Amino acid sequence: MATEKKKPKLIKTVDLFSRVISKVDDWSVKTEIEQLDFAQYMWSPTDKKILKDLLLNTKNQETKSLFLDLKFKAFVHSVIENGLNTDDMKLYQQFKHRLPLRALGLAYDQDDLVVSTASIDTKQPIRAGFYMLEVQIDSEVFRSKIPLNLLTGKSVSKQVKSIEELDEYISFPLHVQSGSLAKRLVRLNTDTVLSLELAEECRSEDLSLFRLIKVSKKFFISRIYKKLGKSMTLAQLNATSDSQFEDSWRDYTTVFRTDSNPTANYQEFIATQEKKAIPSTEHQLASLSKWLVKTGRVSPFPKS
Amino acid sequence: MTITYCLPLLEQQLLTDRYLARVERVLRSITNQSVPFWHCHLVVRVDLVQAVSALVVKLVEESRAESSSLKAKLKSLAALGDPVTKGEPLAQVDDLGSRFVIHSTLNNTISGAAHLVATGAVKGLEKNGNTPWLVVLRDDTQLAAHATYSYLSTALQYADAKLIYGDHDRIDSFGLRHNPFFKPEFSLDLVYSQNYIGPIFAIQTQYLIALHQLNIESNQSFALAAILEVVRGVVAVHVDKKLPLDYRKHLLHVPSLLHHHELACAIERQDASSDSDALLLEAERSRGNLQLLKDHFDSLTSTSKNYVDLGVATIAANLDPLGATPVPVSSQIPAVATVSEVKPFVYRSIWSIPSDCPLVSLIIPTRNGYEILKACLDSILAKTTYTNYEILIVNNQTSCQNS
Repeated sequence: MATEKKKPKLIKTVDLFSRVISKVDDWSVKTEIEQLDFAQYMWSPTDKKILKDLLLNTKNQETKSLFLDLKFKAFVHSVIENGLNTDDMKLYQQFKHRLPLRALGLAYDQDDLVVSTASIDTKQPIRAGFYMLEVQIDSEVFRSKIPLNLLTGKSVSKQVKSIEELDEYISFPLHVQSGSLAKRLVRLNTDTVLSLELAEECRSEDLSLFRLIKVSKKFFISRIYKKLGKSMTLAQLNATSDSQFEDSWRDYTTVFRTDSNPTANYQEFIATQEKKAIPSTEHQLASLSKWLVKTGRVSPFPKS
Repeated sequence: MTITYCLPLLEQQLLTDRYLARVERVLRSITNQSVPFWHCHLVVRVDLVQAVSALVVKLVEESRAESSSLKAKLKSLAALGDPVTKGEPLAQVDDLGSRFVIHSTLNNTISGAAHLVATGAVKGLEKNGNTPWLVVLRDDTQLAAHATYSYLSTALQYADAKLIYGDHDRIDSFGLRHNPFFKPEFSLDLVYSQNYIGPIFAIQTQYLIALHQLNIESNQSFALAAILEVVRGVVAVHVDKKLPLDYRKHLLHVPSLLHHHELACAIERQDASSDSDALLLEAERSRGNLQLLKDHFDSLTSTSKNYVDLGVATIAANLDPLGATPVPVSSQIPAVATVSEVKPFVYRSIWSIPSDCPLVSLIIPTRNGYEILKACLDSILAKTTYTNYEILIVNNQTSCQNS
């Protein structure tokens, strides 16, 4: 009976993301790309109902406390009733972090982390999907580049020795500037516990902000293209094939790997270039054999 | 023909499990060589002999399975009518233990260890007419599996080769490789400035014999001394001084990562010595290298009268020794006047100017850059002490009247 009760909540959460949040994301991508002065987005009756159920539910303590701010409450009411427009988007950007995304399983923050001297891990597995990672570190000494690595549970304590392993070695390196918000996209193919690897000189208390926010695939792609310096029309964005997406994602991760962790590139070199350049043992023996004969040294070992 | 690895274990290291584990990794990298044409001589401090012997026995036992697979490969080559793989190699592969020799010593110099192995252990090879090649290893250096093959195949292909060096990188205690150091073709100028070749290379043993007198304790100094010894050897046999001397025929670069230096972990560093002691030791060793360079220049000057071919004008392009055609454009220039230390292990050699000064052309491309061009020319005219030079200004469609 208890399981049956939980089910609708899960469905509602997925619905909220797929029907509402992702649409807001996609709509913002669309308006951004088309650079319209004014654009409007209206909710369908179903979406409107979901929003009302979730956001205006007075029984939920978390949302209830949010609406103590009357300005914010008015904004949410307006958005639900009138949809979104370009001007609202500016407000939306301002207010979006106050939406109860965490309670709905659409965002994770520092409260979802278990901090110990040895590691910083998420309390529970993060659901598969596309995310935007936001991190801020306030260390005592200013540093322009603080290396940071977000690792999937699978890759924690794992050493990379081949390109095959590298594919499994799902890490999301990022350089953070002291006191500044740093962002990057994170793609999780399976539900997984994440670990945050800070630079040796940073203490876990220095981590002043950690947020992992679920985003739509279209938003995800648009941010990849933005990082890669590619300008895309909406039609091109919509027409992105799976292979194009995979290629772009690889390019995107390479940018961060090269920036944050040159070793990762070296691992690729070892697994690809070096492996190819070294002949097989049979070839080595045959080659030496040929040269030994050619130079008149038949035996590689002296007679005892 | 084989490669002989000499592993001196002489430094005042405590016999800890960590130290033995490090030595084991080095030895394992030797037993894991892809081709079996090697011998390994361990020159070991007396109190370490027992532990090191036990380690070798353990490794030999473990590597039996690997040698069986290698033996099978050799058999298949022999079956194809390969002349090399018939006969004794099969037996040798099977008997890995005979390829490890442990020398107990009270002498704590690297040069002494190398001399011991170079003179004694490879006599058999000399009798057979094979050129003995030696690689002096360090207790923190792991060989790449193809290192023996690379050294041997280069030595066989290039009859004039006297020293062969490869690229290297760093390896951490988890086996993850970092910081590759891809080296250029041999450049004498660069070696005079800093030993970019590093401490590990294959060298013909004859060049190590003379180094015994020097009583060298550090790897850095031993490596530099050995390289300079080869350079002197090459200069000595270069009869016609008018002809250009191309060192790259004798000191060969293999463009492949042949060894991995292990990163000392923090605890080991703390164990070793304090920072100030380490700095003092580094400074002392750097001064040792400076003296080696000074002695080298003195030696060259005395043997070659006033002029020696220093090969400074040879093309320093990073050519593949396995097929590149070097184009030496060497010139005769005077011997070095002074050599000084810039910072530890980095030196500056200042050459005396020859009496018949060659013409030097200073080429300055410019376009509408009157102000900076004037500053540049004024500076050259005011500060240049060299007399035989010309200035060529390449004026690219300047519209400025002053220019």
